[in-house]
Amino acid sequence: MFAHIFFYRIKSLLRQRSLVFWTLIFPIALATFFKISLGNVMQIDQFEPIDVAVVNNIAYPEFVETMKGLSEGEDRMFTLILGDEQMALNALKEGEVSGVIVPGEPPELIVVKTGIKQSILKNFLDQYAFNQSTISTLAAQYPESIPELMAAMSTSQNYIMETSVTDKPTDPSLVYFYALIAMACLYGSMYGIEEVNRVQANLTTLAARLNVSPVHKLKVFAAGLLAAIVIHYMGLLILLGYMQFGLGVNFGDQFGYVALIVLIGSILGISMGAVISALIKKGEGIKIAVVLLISMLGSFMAGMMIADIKYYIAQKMPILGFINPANLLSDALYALYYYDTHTRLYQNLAGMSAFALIFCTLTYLLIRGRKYASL
Amino acid sequence: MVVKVNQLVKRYGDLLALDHLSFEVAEGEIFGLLGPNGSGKTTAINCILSLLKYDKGDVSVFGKPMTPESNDLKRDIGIVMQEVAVFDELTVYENIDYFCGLYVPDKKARKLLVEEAIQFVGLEDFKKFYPKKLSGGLLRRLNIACGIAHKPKLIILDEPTVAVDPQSRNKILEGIVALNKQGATIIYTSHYMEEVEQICSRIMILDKGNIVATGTKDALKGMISLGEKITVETFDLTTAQVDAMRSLPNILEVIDQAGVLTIRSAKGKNNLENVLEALKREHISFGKIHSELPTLNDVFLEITGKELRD
Repeated sequence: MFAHIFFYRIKSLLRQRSLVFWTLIFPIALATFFKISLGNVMQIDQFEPIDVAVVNNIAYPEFVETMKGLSEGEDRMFTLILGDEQMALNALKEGEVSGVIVPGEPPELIVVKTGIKQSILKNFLDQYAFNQSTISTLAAQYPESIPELMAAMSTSQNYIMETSVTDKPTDPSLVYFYALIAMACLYGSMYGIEEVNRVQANLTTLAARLNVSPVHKLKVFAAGLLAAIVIHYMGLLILLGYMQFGLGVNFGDQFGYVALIVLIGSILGISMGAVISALIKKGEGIKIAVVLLISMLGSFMAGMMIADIKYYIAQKMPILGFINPANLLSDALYALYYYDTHTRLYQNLAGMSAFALIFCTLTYLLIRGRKYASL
Repeated sequence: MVVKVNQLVKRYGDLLALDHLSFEVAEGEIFGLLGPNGSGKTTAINCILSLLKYDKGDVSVFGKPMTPESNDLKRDIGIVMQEVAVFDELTVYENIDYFCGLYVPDKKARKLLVEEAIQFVGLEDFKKFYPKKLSGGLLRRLNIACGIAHKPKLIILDEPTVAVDPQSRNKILEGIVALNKQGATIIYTSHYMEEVEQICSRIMILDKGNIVATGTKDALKGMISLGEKITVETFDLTTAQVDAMRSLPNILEVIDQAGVLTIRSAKGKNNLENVLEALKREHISFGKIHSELPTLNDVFLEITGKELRD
């Protein structure tokens, strides 16, 4: 009997186009869109040489040589244009360079707007002027210390040691993709709505017909839920596969854990839909609108649209992160990828499981009755 | 008794939906529940099926108390809901197989039953169709097939012909009689008195949760004073002519309206003959003349003072 209901539910759910769209096609389309939009996020973090024009003044050959030196090689700081003042100012006017440097004591910087590149140029010139002044002063007062000073200036000492909690390459776009997976998991709530509607006689006539059959409605519900989990989970695995192999999203090398996170996420999403469907005695459209709203809002707070939201909530309102199932899900994937230990992953998994358990228990309490006050 | 309902009371807040309803359905009957919309027919059915909570009373089916856990009783009950209750995503065959499978676990036996049900409702050419592709009548037939495929001993049909074309309606009514002949006891609810008159062996008329009358078709008609209704197409009658018709023996009421003279007579012989003679005597020209025996609507009208379809 269980198998009979289960296989028919599989068939029935697979043929519901709206379910397949929201739980598979939509997340795939959104992931593709994310990939196109976020493709350059990694490159943004790389330093690009600053275009700068230097007026070629023979009175300051050291400065010009210094600038030439800093404009060579792969890790160069500047892309240099050397010429007379008129040419340099024209280049600035045309937007070909971020600033014009006129050598002098101190060197003069001409810019037409403010920005990061202009700030770097200003900073560089300040540092240059400071060093030049230091050398001049010392040369005048302690000429014997010049070699020592030059040696000290050529070697910089860093007193901050950079350490990393991970050996994985950082990828800012992962927050977006992980939040999207969380959204896809929570969209499983549509299956939950469907399954409750199929067994509650006060919601659909179809359920009333099932209730007068000699099969306990909780058996029908359990078979339906299992079918929903199987289909939703398969859809999520397809989504993961597409993201990893099609879009190149990195999930690390612990796929077993990724599959486990998504499985618990699927159960969490479906059980969330079930409890919402059992609680709200309104039409299916309203229930779907509610779960879409919760899923989207949760995913937004998990960083799906703006990654900084996730960090902001973690710092300012951590409780909001703990009670947001989408955040627990995306954070589990995040922790699995970046951290060498599983502590944070297990914390997230425990939170997700607790939510799923609460939702399942509430659903059971709400739908266990087999007699209704009205139909 | 297949079904026994005793002093059933069901309230929806302040509304009394069933007021100490008591009736019995014997094995082999086609028991008709007739009443206007909102009279309590579906509520009574849902209470019998133990779907609805009720405030007072007892329901027993096949001699045992009916509860939501009575799976042994449910196995022998088939229900055809008022609204079509099938899966849109499953084909005709799959729908019937799914519901039949809730009663009959054995695959081989079920296959035969499903084929038989499809044949019974005449959906052989539509086995692979999805419900959305079926007309209203065919959809109703599928709804019936899903309820009867497992060959239940008691079949409850709640207004199965609503919004159905005449051809499908006849097919459905013929099917119900055939199921009864095969041994099933039928409870049939409708607000179409013609259908109930046509197929039911015993009828209970409900109004506002109360039983108005119960009995066979003839017994119900025997409860009222009306014997015959004669309708005559006439032209420009004088008051004297109408009064002359009123003075005929055994006449209860004469109404002259829009060129139609309606004469309601009490039970008795020669009513039509008397009217014809009076028309001749009073020199009343007439077109069509029509005589009909009382209907269940007349029974309802006389007892409750309103039309069945109000």
